[in-house]
Amino acid sequence: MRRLVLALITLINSVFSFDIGRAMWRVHKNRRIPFEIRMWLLQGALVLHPIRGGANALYDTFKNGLGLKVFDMDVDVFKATLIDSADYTYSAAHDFYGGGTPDVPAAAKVAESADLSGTWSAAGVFDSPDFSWLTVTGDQSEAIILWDDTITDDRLVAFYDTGITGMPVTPNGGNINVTVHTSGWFSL
Amino acid sequence: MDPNSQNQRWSKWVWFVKPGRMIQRPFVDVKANCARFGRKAFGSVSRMNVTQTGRGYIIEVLTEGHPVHDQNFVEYMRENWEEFFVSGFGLGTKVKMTAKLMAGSRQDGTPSAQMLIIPSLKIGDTHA
Repeated sequence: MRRLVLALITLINSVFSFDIGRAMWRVHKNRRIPFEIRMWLLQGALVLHPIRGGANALYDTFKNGLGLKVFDMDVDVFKATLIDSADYTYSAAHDFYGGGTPDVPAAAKVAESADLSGTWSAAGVFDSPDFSWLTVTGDQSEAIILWDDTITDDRLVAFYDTGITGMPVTPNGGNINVTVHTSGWFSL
Repeated sequence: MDPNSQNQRWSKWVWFVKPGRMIQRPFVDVKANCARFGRKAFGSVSRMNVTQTGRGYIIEVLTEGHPVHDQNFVEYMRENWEEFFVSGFGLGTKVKMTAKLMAGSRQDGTPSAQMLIIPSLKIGDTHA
């Protein structure tokens, strides 16, 4: 029975391609549902959550770099790049945007911004004014990478490919104007 | 919502307001009045963000369907909003306004601008 439920959930997830794992986690908390079934759902959530494609995330290498004082969030120059997901797949272990062996191939970089003039607030929020990529041409793009241009070989900071209004975007030679969330790029 | 679809024109309007007299107004009242006036000026297909700073207020409006490329319209909005702020905060109120096309055509033959809105994330979010 348990295998049947898991197989059914896997099938639903593959057909509808939404985050059923998280939905199951919410259902798991509902105490009106028999305990045994809730446990199956919890197992399903744990199994299926990694199946979900794409989510915004900070690179693990960036988190590590914060602890090691590699990044100076208030002083470094940060830039954003429009990314063609056909040529780049996120990995938390990726570290370098540029340099001799970049983790992000040149083909994936559709447009680079100027200095974002990012600021680090006392509340632990990294924010920047809105910015634009000017006269953009190239492949259809589905993601954005935030990176540090000050450190040698340009270190990766964050990857965004989910919940971006206007994505995917097909460059038409015009400007692409980006509105940064009122809560900033990310917060601790 | 796809702001980059054809025949849409999104614009961002920002007012920097430095109140003239020291009229103490609760921030909630400022937000409520700006929201009410903004709805009349721009309609409901808009998003407003009001921020209080040390010098005054910043009011940002992201809206669809207004001719931001038309200088007469921009001037019309500038005058109306300035009157609104002066009547609310008193004489001597200083208002600076910017209006920018975010997505859509400038009606000048150049390629249409496109717009993206990035969400915020918190440390602890993991890529699945």
